[in-house]
Amino acid sequence: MRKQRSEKKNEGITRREFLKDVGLAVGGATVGYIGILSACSVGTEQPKTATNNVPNTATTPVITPVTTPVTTPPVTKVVEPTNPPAAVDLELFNPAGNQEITQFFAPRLSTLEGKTVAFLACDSVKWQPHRIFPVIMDELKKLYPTIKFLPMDQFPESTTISDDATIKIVAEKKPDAVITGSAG
Amino acid sequence: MVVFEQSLFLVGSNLTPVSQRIGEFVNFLTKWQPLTKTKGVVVSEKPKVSGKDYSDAQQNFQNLFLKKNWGDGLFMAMPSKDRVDWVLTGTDRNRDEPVVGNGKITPKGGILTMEVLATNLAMAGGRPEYLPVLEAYFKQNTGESSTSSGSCHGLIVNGPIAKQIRMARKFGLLGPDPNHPANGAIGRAIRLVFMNVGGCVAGLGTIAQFGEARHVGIVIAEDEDNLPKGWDPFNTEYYGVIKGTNTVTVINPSSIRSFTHRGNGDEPSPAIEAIEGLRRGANTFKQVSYRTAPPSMVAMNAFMLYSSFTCGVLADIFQTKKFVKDTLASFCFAPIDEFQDATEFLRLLESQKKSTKDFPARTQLIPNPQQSIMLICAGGDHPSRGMCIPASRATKTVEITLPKSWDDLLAQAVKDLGPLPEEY
Repeated sequence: MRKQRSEKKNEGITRREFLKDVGLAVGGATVGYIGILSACSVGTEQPKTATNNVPNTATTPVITPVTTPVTTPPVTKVVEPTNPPAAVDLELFNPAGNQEITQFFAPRLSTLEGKTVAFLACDSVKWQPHRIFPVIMDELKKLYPTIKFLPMDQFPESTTISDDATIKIVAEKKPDAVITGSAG
Repeated sequence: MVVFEQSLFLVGSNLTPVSQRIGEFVNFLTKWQPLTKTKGVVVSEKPKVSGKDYSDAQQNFQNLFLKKNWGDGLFMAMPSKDRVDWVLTGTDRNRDEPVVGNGKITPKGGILTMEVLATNLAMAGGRPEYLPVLEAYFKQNTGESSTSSGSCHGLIVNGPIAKQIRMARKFGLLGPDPNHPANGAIGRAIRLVFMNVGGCVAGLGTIAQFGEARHVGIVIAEDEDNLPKGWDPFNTEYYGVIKGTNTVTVINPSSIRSFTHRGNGDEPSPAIEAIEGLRRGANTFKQVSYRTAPPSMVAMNAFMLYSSFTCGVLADIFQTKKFVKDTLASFCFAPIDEFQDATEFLRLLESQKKSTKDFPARTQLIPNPQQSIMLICAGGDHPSRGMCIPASRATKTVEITLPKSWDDLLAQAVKDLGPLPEEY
């Protein structure tokens, strides 16, 4: 019995890709086909031979082997079909559900020169934004001397940074970009 | 997103990598482009499987779905048309209707329709009569936290439906039990929805460190038939629901802990035995939070599960649930030397211009036992053990909507599974 199996490449995504595209489609379900083929080949039967060995003496006749001919049926070569129908073929329901894209990410800036960048923290100390954000600000300032910042203490922190009320505060202050962190 | 090693986010970490990778921050603000360029609904395709026979197709389905991260690692039932259509007989709603609102389950935002819900219940090995419970659950919970705490999902069912659909309420409450298969299938389906529709797959959409009890969560039903006289069911006590109403209350457990309730058996009196049992129970859920000064257990509610046997004993001694809860709360205290050196507590004192001298030698941690401690009558009728679900909260309770064919579904269950099991 021989089996042939074909399947599409696994379309799993890395955590980085998933996190970048949360809220966006991550491709639809991939339809994977797995076909299994089986085939048997028929071979030719061999002639049967009978022997009876007896020691050779002056009084003992020599018995020679006798071959009994066997009629061989005609052989039909079997050609394996390339895609034989499977006994079971099922379409299943997709457990992941559809996804709806309602909003795009904000367009990117052409430069950070003269722009205002706000910083939002989900916790002001736990994952070290009080140390990390100043480093980011210093480095950006070196690259873009006219960049301005709105530090994290101007906004609510903790899980409320994704609340409508916080978004309203951010919008009122009109930064050109927002950096949020640090994920826990 | 600029991703760094965990060590960068700890106290005293070396922040050089942030400086070295500032270019990535600039890139994400100025050059990065998302993959998706169009708005609208992205329709998921229906997967197909084949096999030389049904068993072969079943294995191929299992392999395919696991590769797609659609599953919990255990063997699943194929969500074929026949099976999903059968499960959908558990509702009168339109199969394409979102379960609630826009149907989106966070964090991924997949849309949960009645058909998708039935698909996941089918995969979990569920029956149509479980679907109304799931519908009520997702009407009030459209996602879960994907943080490191990783609490499992949970719910409490009240009302006659629990017995009708064969939910465990006594021995083997948390399963598994072939005579009470509903709890496991319901819990499993919820988890599949959070993973398949919501994207909460370990390492991809959730960083739950341990993912405790997540295969089937904590799905329980109250043993209402055996509540002590004068004790209301949980949904009546907390939400004012008329006794006998079928409801689902979503809970957010952080863990589950068993404790020994009964003592040695040579206590001076039943009352002392009971009091000491409550002390042992209180020790199980006591947790000191330093986010307030004095410390408290505010927002650290606990569910205490006692069998109807133990509830009866407690009712004989304490009469009311209120007295039981007050007694439990009295054992939740923190002596000052337990927290007077805690960094968080000292910072709070400094901000409030107070000192440890302003606090008593012993601080009671639960200011409102009636709200913070939730007594549930459930578990095997035996005096030895109790169960605590600490640091949890209940949100609201939702009444379960039954389909018109409810009696037919129950009759079919009797044909398939036999008469309702004996209660033990």
